[in-house]
Amino acid sequence: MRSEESLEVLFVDDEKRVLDGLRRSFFDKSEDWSMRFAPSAEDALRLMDERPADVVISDMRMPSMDGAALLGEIRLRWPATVRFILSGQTNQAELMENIGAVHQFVQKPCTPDALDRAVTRTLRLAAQMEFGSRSALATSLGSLPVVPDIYRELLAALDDVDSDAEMIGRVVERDIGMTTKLLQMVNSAFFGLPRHVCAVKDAIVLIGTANLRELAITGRVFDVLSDDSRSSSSIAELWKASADVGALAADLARVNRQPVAVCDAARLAGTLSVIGRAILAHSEPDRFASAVDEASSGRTTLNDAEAMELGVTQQTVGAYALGLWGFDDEIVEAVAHQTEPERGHVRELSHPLPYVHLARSSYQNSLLVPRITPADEWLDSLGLYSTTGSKAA
Amino acid sequence: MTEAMEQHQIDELLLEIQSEEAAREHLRQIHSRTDRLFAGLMALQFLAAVLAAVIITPRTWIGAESSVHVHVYSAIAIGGTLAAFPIFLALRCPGKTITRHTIAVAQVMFSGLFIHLSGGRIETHFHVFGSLAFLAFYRDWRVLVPATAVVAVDHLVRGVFWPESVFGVIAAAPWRAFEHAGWVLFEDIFLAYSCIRGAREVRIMAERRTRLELVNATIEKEVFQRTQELQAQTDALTREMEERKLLENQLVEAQKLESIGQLAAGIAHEINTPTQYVSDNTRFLEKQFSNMMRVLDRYAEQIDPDAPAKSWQERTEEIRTTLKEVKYDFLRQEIPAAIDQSLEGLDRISKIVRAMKDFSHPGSEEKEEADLNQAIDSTVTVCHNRWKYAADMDLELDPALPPVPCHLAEFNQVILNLVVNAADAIHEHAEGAPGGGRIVIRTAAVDGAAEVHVSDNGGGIPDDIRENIFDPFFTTKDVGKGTGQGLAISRDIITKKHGGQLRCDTVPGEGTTFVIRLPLDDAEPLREAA
Repeated sequence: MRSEESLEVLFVDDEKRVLDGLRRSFFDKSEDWSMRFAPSAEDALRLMDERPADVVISDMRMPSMDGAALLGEIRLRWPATVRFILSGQTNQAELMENIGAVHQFVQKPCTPDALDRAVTRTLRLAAQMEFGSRSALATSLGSLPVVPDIYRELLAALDDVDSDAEMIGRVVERDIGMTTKLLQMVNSAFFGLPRHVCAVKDAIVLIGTANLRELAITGRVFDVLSDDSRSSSSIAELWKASADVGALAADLARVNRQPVAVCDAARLAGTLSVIGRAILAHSEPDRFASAVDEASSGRTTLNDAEAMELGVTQQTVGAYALGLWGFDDEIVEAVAHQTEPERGHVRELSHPLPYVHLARSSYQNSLLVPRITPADEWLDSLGLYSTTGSKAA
Repeated sequence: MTEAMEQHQIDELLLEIQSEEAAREHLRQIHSRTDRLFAGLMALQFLAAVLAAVIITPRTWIGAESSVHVHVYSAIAIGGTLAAFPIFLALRCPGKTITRHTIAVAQVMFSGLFIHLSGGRIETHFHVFGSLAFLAFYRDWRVLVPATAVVAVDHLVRGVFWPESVFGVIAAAPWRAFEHAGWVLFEDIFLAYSCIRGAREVRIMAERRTRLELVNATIEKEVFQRTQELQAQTDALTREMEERKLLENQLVEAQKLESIGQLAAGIAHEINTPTQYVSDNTRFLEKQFSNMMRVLDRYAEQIDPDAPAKSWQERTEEIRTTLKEVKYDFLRQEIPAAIDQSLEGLDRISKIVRAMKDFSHPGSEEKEEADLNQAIDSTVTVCHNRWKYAADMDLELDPALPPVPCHLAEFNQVILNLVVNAADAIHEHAEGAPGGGRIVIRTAAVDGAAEVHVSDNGGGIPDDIRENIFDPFFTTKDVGKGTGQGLAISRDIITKKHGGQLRCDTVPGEGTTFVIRLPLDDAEPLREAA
């Protein structure tokens, strides 16, 4: 996105020595990065006013305005800015409560390399997505909406003494808003896990049902739609369709004798494959609606209509949002290339992309998730094939 | 109601049975005693009969021949028989009905014997009346029946066949026997009456005594029960007091753990932050060291004799280029700062670790002389994270403060509670307009006491809750933010465990000062100041 100019990075920390240390650490990057340092949230907002930053990396606990409040403000005023927290805090519950506007948590102490990787990755994704100026569609998003009925079911399951992580996981899996939030939490660097977690039930075990209950009840973590909201029923239908796609993708991976980890990744990527649609419908409802109209007339595909009306496709926005939230590269790639897998570089059967592509090209139960054309040549090259309209094996 | 009545009836029946038994027992005792009395009497009567026979008619003459009179022999034989059997019974089976009836018969037969031995003297007949009166001792009218019958039959038979023996005359009118029997019956009436009355009195007495015993037993039972209840109550109270003491200790411990739990996250943050910049700086120094070496290498080349000759111009150009490449000015400026800040960071970390060690000083049973200034400094360091976002901290610690005998761990806990409260008060007061918060901790020795003032410029304590602040579980903080135990436990620690004082001066809108006073002399607790 900004390959020509240097990247604007703004560091915020109330401890001057931390800022000095960061400045020295990234001294070498001064050609690529234009770095500014703010000793308080108020100073950071002033610097943003002067010149918006591409990435803000802020401490959490600061006198007066804290990191969560700062990033919330930045999300509203500069939606295209990527928002990171770099905190020495170890209190998981407190951090998770403030996850709203935060794309990723990084735990102090961290090496300059780790921070560099996290920043560079999101920028690389943004560059790959060929967003132009439309990246704010993904970055501005705090969280995906949660269907009220499923939210109530979750509360009931959390109150039920007999329910375990697996049962609670099955409820969460049916709602993409909750699924993305939970996986974002456990996959943020804060949890310090060596691998990415793809299964919702593993995420619930890591967070702990007691913590999850507390988080769910505070209402600050999940963006629950109101019952009478206009989009509520269509979101509910979309989430249901995506859960079906996820289940289908997992089945396909299993049929192809993939290990559990790949099946989990396929389920997750399949479930998240259509979040771009929710993001576009939420951020640009009118333009997205006319793109849908255009596509339904049969003159063009939905993706082309999206590109024309909005400048991006739903896969791109969805994939970028997942990247911002720290989801694994494989998931991001699978979502990004689900319709035209041959355009990526994925050639492995252990990657979730083939199963998501197969699932999307055979699923046709919902108008919200239209069936896509299978990329037969690419599938052939992997030794897979599809029979149109039925499950591949 | 009916139940109560039934119970009452049962009680009455029981009482009757018990008193009946008691009466019978008493009568049995009377009978036995009387049996023994008669045994003695029988023996005496036997001796008396023999003596009477010997004195009255010792010898008998048939012509010139004199021999011992037959009376003497009959007195010995008959009297012996009469006496022996009742004595045997009285000793062998005292109290038995057969015994006293046998005695009754034997007694009146002794009367008959005496009458005969005295030659039918009318005065000797009084022995019969005496015997009957004696038999009335039994308080059993029935013994009078065989006795009277024997008397009557004896008089009748002897009056007819041997009147000399009973009336002292050769021939006696038959009605005399009936008259004697009539007089005997006359006496019997009175004696029987007194026997029946006596027996009834015995019964009444027995019932009274039984009732009394019953009441006594009831009272005794009640007293026993009461005593037991009292003992149980005392035991329960003792147990409760022990439990309370245990709970109090556990509460202090729990509050300490709670505050340590809260502190732990803060301490991690306090350590993670300097670790971040120490490691950043060290990595920076590592990288820049190679740059510096490049510069030094360049200089070293200049004095290398084997190096090719170069002009001064060339040499300066070479050095200048290298300095520019490594950004010499930047290095000059940053390296010393990076080293300084790294050392500061390491100092910071070691200070926190040391403070943690001081703060978590294990509690001891005995008070130890402690440096309160150092304790305060450590505690403030440990909870830095709890106040630094709310306030600046000023420590005005009097270096002349002498060592104070105290339980250091618990004193630390009190300081922690007060500092956390001060920070919260400032935070609440400054809601929306932060900055300017200030906590001051001052120490001094005043009048034999060490004084610690912990002041904040928060909102003060409103008048209406000022009296409650030391109450257990009283809190104005949100649920989950405080248990309301802090000040209650702090006061406990200062007053009860240290014999000191903890008071609170507050001006609503301006701030609050908590004052701890600890006695410098352990043996003299501070008296409650007016």
